Amino acid sequence: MNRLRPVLLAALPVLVGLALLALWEIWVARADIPVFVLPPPSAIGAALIDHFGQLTASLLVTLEITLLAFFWAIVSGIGLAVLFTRSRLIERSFYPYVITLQVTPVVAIAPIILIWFGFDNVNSAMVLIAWIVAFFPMLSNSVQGLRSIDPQLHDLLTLAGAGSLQRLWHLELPAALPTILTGAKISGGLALIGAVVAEFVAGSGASTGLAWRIIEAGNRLEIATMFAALLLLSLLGIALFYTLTFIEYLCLHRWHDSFQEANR
Amino acid sequence: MTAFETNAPTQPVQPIIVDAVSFDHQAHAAATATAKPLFDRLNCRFEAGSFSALVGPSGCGKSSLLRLLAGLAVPQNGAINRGDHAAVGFVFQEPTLLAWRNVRANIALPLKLSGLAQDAIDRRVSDALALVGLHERADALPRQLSGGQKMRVSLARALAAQPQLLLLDEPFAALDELTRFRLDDDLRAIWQAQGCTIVFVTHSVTEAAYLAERVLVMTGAGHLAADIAIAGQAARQSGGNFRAAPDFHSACDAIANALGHNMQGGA
Repeated sequence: MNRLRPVLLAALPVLVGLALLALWEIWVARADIPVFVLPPPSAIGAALIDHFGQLTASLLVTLEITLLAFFWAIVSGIGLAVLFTRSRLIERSFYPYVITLQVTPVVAIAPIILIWFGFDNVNSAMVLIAWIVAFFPMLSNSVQGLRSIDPQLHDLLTLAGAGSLQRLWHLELPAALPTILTGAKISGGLALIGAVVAEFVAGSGASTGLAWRIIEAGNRLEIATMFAALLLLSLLGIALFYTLTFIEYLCLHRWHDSFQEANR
Repeated sequence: MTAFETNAPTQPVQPIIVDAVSFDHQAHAAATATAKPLFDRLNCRFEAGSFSALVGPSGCGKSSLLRLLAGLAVPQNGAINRGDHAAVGFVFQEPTLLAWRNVRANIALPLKLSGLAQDAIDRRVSDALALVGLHERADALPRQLSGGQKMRVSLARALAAQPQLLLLDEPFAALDELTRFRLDDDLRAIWQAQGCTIVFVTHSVTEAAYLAERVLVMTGAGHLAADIAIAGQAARQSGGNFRAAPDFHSACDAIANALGHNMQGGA
């Protein structure tokens, strides 16, 4: 029984999912719900197969925007955090604007950004919009990680005569890595949300990502295709999250306290 | 041990002189306030190769004096002349190890930062590991070590720099008494082998009396109340348990009296 437990635990969510899908299928058929209101899982599966080429192409577009925005969020978040923790003056000067960027609803900024970039650079505009959404948790987590380093460790490097870059490489980045990775897990998910928002705002013709497929299918009342695109978006989010969780595990499991229990 | 002696650090000969040092952590606040600074024209002297202990209640400025000696803090007035004590080793209250580096890499880090060649680093790390008796744990990560072992790594890291001046800030305070006794003995042995100058901050009267040749007692804020030489140092070379010696007990009494306590009466 004990040896079966892990298998059972892993199978549990799958079983729940299958049961829910079965209920859904039966309920839609029994209650005679129209396909354009709620298609049964089988129809969604069929739509996914029918439009597979088109949908995966769109998936790649959304993935590209998400990853680019996420990449810039990581670079700018960590970079700015390093500047902020090195100089109070820089932090004082820029922090209010970072906050402004964070609290202004991105949907409201997006049309302006699209106009600025123009029709030829829609992809760059969408990356920028997604970056605005993804950037802040990366910054705030990096700042927090860099700030909470034991001052004695800083003393140690001072005594060893460490230069600014040596301090960054040997102490600050590795010590802040756990909080930075936590920020990355939030930021990665937000980059996807930002990409979807950007595609929604960019609208017809300009974008060919998954979010646009959802709008397009909605306009044509192909509700099953909408669900298929939605499913792919969810899978993309899940894949992103677990990839980051795995990277976190690779980086930290040897030494960080949060993995200590699992190791024993 | 022989391996270490071949590339042992140069022993210091000049004293360290603390000359009329005034210091306050809150330099900017103190500039406007009328409050007395932590140290006001403090004078003291540490002979080359000596082992001094600095005892006093919390907040009396022991750690600040240590930081000034290390150059981690700069006095607002006066000067600290370290003479020929070029290399400084510092052992913090906590082991202060980098959790993601194994024992060997932790000890090697300050050497690496100072630009030493890799083969010299390897040699020094392995010598330092031998000094603290941790050779077989060289590849362990800090979290796999006990509190005493972590402190040994921290000590080894300070020793690997081959310091002329070794500063220790209540390093063994968090350890159990047996481990502390063992580390005290090891530290004495290392000092005798290396000939470096040691300043050891502690709040333990007995630890100060046991370790040092001379105990500086600090009371209040930055006030040096007494400078007590511990008798019987020559006799200690021939072995025997110093903790049982009359000299040890009279030293404890003298330190406690200087701190304003009566050991027999109980505080």
